[in-house]
Amino acid sequence: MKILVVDDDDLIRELLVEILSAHGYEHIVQADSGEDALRKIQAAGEAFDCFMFDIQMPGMDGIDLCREVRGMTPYKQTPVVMITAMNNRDYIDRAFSAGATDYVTKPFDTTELITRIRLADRLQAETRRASEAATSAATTVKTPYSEAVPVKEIRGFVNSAILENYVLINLEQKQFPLAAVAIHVPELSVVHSGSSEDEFTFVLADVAEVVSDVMVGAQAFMAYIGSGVFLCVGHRNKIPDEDTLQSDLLIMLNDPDLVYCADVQTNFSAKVGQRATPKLFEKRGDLRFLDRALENLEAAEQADVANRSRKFTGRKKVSFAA
Amino acid sequence: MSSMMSVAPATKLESGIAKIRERFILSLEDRADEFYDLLEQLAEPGEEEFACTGIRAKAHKLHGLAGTVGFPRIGALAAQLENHIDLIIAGPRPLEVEFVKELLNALLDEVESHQVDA
Repeated sequence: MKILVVDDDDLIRELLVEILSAHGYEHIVQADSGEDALRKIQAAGEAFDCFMFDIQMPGMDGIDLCREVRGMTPYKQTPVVMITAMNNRDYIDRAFSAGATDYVTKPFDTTELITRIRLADRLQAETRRASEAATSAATTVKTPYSEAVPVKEIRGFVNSAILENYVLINLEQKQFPLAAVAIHVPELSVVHSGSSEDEFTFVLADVAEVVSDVMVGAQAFMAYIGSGVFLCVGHRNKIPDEDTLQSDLLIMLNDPDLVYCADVQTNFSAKVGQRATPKLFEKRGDLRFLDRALENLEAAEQADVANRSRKFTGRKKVSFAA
Repeated sequence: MSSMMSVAPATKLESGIAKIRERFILSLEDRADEFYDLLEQLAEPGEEEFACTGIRAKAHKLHGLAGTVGFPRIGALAAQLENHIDLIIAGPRPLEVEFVKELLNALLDEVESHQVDA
């Protein structure tokens, strides 16, 4: 794995090189600033497989650098591990929003650092495998409705693996009380069956933008997990209650100024499940509250069955158990 | 140390970190000099904010590095200084810098104790 390590402190860079190379990661390039990193990325013959960026650097900081790298086509999915000497919530939120996949804190714990890099290594291998599979598959085959589709360039939206990372880090560091809420937009099923992959992705992005807007202020990160379901995780005390969320979603999803796609119906509805929170007895790495948010959504929809003939079926089971 | 490593890479890592530690100790004198310059600047009217920003940047670097190379107390004092400056920078003006001076002096005492050891 070819890694680019960016830090303005030469001793930190050397330390990282020592730790990484002792664990078998020997193909390491160093840069002493964001600007130097961009030059080295542009000049690289063989692409980098992983980036490690210090958040706080003079000039271009690690967050701006991450945003620049995410704008480069070959590096849209490449793992970016941020290096930070602080547990400052704002920096971490901004780093994830800019496209970071993980972070490590200074002073370094060697075991934790290597665990993070191995995770990045696996993520990169998985991304490459999925990309090759997608290329080799017939282009006419659409992603099944039950599967997750990445939502790009919508504030707060990340893929489900990054959402899990974000939640784990928050739980580990007890940064603030978390809650998860699941939202189902059932009409996406009709959109999916009656449109191409590109059209579906386009409509999905519009719906995701509305979800992002209703969650604004909740410091939330969100992922689309398939079957019309969005999973949102944010500050427990800042996520609006279910009724408010549902009412806001209905109004905003059906805003006449919002044109999704010429051939797509615009009478969307939304069902919001009761929020779920981590329980006191659950260990810090336990993500079962995400499962509970999805179960709460199913329960809410089942309660509506008497009034609605539609059933929420076929959603692929996603397990977040520890 | 990671249990996933064999003995040879573990030894190599320890030796590599030991060399970085030596260089860190050698760098302490320059770091202390820079802090003393900023401490003087901190005493000049109208220069407090600029001096605090400089002190914070240098404390931030120490915070990140010191703990990893075996100086947790330097790292902890640098972190306190960094956090306190973040707090006062976010607050009202003029900046109240007396506690910054106290924290910086405590950090310098710790840094200088290791310079003597070196």
